[in-house]
This record gives sequence, structure tokens and C-alpha cells, in this order.
Amino acid sequence: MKVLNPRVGMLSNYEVLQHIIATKERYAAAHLASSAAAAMKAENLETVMREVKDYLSHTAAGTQSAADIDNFMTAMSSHALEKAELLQIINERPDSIAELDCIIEEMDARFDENTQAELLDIVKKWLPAKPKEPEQVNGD
Amino acid sequence: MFILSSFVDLVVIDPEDFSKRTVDALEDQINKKYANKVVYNVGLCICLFDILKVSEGMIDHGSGSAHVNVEFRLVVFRPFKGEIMTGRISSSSMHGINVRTDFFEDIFIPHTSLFDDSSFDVKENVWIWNNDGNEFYMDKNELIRFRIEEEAFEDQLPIPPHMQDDRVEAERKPPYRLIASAQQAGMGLVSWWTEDEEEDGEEGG
Repeated sequence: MKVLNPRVGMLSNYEVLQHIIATKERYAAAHLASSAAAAMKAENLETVMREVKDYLSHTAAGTQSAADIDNFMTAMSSHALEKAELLQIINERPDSIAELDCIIEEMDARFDENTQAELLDIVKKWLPAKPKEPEQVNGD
Repeated sequence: MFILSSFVDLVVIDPEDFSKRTVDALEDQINKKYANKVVYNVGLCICLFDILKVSEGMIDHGSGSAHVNVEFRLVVFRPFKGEIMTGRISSSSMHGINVRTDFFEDIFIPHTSLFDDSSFDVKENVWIWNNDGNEFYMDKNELIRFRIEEEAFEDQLPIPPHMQDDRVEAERKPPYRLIASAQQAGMGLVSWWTEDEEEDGEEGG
């Protein structure tokens, strides 16, 4: 076994979630077409795919679509944000300036208050809200 | 959070799988070997992303299995330094907080990387953040936002036979461990910072 390139590129949570869903659909279709024995997959594969799918479905990736991400990237293209920052915004979908500040380095130095508010607006406009958490803690 | 890594490996297809399409048989074998496993200095492998190149299969004269050289890409979990992530608190100790995501257990936030005014309640085993007189409890199973600071890969050597029975497996360090921090505004429990669309700038608590 040889590692050719440990870092070919980065994947957004949305892309990984879609890949897992597509893979599962392929397996389900193959299961219908052939025998049950042929459709059995390794336990470690089933476990990790299920766990990653559960985790990602409850993050922002669970409500996004390819069109949302394209529109968001177009809207953001006029602002000077790093690739890693854009990726994190898509993955985490910040709701407040405080959260945006965690993701964007030196935000106060690079952007003034109006631009910061504008960035947050673009996020809220183009990226759908995260899925709601199933249980409400202390209902406030 | 996830990256793409390319590998080349020798994949063995047993004769009983010859009825499958070659790509399916290769995919199954690769997933069986790599899914949910940590590759040293690469990350936690999730599943096959795609196959790039497949060589001609060489038949093994003993078992009749086909040995195929395959170049492929895997989806790998490996957050970069400074990345913001969300997870759930699995346990706390006086050293810090252990966080897990559904698929990864070994994320640790040392107590020095929590907010300055945090204190540990030994009776209830929770960390508490004292902010301007308000006490915010960091309870088990709460969603917490943190920043990745360091990663640590541990090469797992096999246990020598004379130590296998008495030594507890749990003492082994995890093959891949993440050290994180949660000490900037916006981090820590997600519920502390959620702003409802109706209310303006109120810290949920």
C-alpha cells in the first residue's frame, strides 16, 4: 500500500453526504438486482457510513443543495475570502457575527462593520438554515 | 473536515467474487480494508471515492485469486489546523473535556484551552464557565463548537505475545487524536451563542 497524495483536495460536508447517499442507493439497487449474500457489505463500512451520514445530516450539509452552494460562491466572489474560510462557512453556516469571527481570521482588521454585516447577510440569504435539533433542551 | 487522498494498493479478488463486476469487487475489497480505519499520517478513512486506474489481473497459481494493482481515492476525515467543528461532549475530567462526533471519538479540549473563567465541579464532573456572574454548565451530550489546534498520529505496534493477556487494550493511545480549543467568542456550547431570528443579539442560556 502506498499513499500517492495524502491531500488531493478538500471536500465539503455536502459533497461527502451526497457521495454516501449515492453509494447507499447504488448498493440498495444492487441488492434488489442480485442475491442478498452478494449485497452484504463489510461491517466497518456500514458502521462508518451510517455514523458519518447521521452526523452530517444534522449539520448545515443536511439542508443544502448544489444550487445553494453555487449561488453562495457567486455572491461571495467579490469579497476577499480564503478557500478554507469559504469551505468552513459552507460547512458550519454561521448564524451570528461572533461565529463568523471564529471562521474568518482577523475579521476586524480585514473588513469593517458594514462589510461584516453584508457577509452575514449573504450567508443567511443563500445558505439554508441548519436542520433543527430534534430535542429542545429547557425549551427557551 | 474531509479531504480526498489517493492511494495505490494491490487488491486481491477471490474466485467466488468473479461473478461481480470488476469495479464492484474492487470497491468491496478496498472498502473492507480501509473503511473506518486510520492510516498513519493520512487520517480516518471513510469510504472509496473513485477508482483511477486498474491494472491487468495476475492470477495466483495457488488459490486462483486475481491480484490487481489499483489506484484509487478515498474520502478521509482530517480537519486542518484552525478548522471550526461541532461535536458532542462525551465526558469531562479535571484535565479537560472529551468531545466526540458520531464517527470519531478522540477529540480532547485541555482545560487550559477553555475560557479563562472556567472551573471544574468535581461532584458533578462538569466544567462551568463563569461569565459576569452567570454560570454556564458544559453538560454531557451538549453540542459544543471548537477549533482544531493539533493532531497526533500514533503508530500502533502489535502487542508482544507476553503482554497480550494482562495488559488492558484501553491503555493503548488512539491512532489518531485531535487536540482542540474553545476560548473565543462564538465557541463553547452552541446554545450559548444562538440568536433566534426574532430576538436580537441575546445570548441563549
